[in-house]
Amino acid sequence: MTVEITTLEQPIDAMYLIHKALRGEADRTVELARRLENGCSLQAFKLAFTAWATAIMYHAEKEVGTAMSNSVDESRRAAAHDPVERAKWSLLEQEDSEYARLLEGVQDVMTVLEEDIGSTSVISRTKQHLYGQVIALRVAQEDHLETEEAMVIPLLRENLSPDSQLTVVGGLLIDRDADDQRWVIDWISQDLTPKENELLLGLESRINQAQPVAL
Amino acid sequence: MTAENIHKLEDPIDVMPLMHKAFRAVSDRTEALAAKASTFEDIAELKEAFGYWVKQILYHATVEDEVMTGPLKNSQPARDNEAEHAELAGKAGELAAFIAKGKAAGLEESVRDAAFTLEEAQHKELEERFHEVESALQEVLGEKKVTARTIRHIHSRLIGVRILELDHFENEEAFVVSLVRDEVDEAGQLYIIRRLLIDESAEDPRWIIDWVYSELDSADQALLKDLETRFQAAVAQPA
Repeated sequence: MTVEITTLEQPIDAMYLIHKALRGEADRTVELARRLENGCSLQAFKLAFTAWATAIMYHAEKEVGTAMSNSVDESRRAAAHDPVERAKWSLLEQEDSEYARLLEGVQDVMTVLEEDIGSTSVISRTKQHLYGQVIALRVAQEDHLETEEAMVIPLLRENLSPDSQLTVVGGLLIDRDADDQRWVIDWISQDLTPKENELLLGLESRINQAQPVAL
Repeated sequence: MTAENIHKLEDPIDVMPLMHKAFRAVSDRTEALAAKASTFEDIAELKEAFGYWVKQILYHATVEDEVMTGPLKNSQPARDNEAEHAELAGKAGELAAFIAKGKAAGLEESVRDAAFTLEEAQHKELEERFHEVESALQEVLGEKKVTARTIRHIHSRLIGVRILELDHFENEEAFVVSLVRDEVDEAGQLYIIRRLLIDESAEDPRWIIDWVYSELDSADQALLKDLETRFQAAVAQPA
């Protein structure tokens, strides 16, 4: 069951909206892989997978080595004596490798698709392999999102000022290198409820006020 | 030949797709159990279902290696078939060991997988803290999410085993069954099939054939019944 996000107490809580969209992409792709029949076209599956893979790659690029891990005051890490707190810091450090694993999963699906290149319809073996790889990718993604929500987001809430959080989230939601800088927001929005979309738009205004988007 | 278009078993070895059909049924059922599992009790049920599947596949592979491909000397398809059996048994064994680890197995696996992608120095440092990270995650996530993570991992691994199995059956039907048809006479084929379906060393020698019957529709059951009559009547041993 999908739970509606009713409030963004802090800007970093926007991560839950992003996660919801990533989960939506995963579920759609897995469902399409599950429903592939021998002889049918791979086109719908390829489109869904491309959307999911693009989102994972974009977030890997934006989260890895960026404000996510770099904005935090390292002296606070040294002060962490509680085992749970220490584990949170360890997991924040692992963000890079977590995304590397997800990207490996994306590559594994692409390898199956490349092996199938040239064929216009799916055969039983391709179907099974695609299904297996997208399930494995969804498992890796869910582990990552779940851990991030339990350990990393609370750590960032406690250790980043609201302004810093806004900078981090702005980097994730606004693609300043793209022609359409709002594409991430538009992408997330498709999996959100009207209330969640209101929260997202409110946050977008705050980001734009803090860091005006170049036109 | 595929399981969908069998109307008559010309050669005894042609029963192979029917046996594979029974395996597909049991693996589909086990995967469906994993897909809908949500509690630790569901894992126990899954463990039992997977154990039964593994018991069947291990007996099948061992007997095939011994009486079907073993005698086919200088045959690459036969050796490939045996290698696929070994890989399948290995993956199934890994999954059985994973399930036996209990409800926190998924958490342990995800923490360790992440660590193995780090540089060696980082990995050594994290190795010392594995249990701390696992315990902390267990505490923060709670039992329900920890169990759900393990079920996700079991499901994914189970699909991996099923894919290996399906690929293997497809390869065997394409490359080995035809070889056996060409290289082994009818008496020899009947011996192979009897060994695959009747376990003389078991308290209930019919535990395999009765299971295969139970997975087939009435038309396929009639084909198998006809074959059983043939191999029960045969006294020939392989040359």
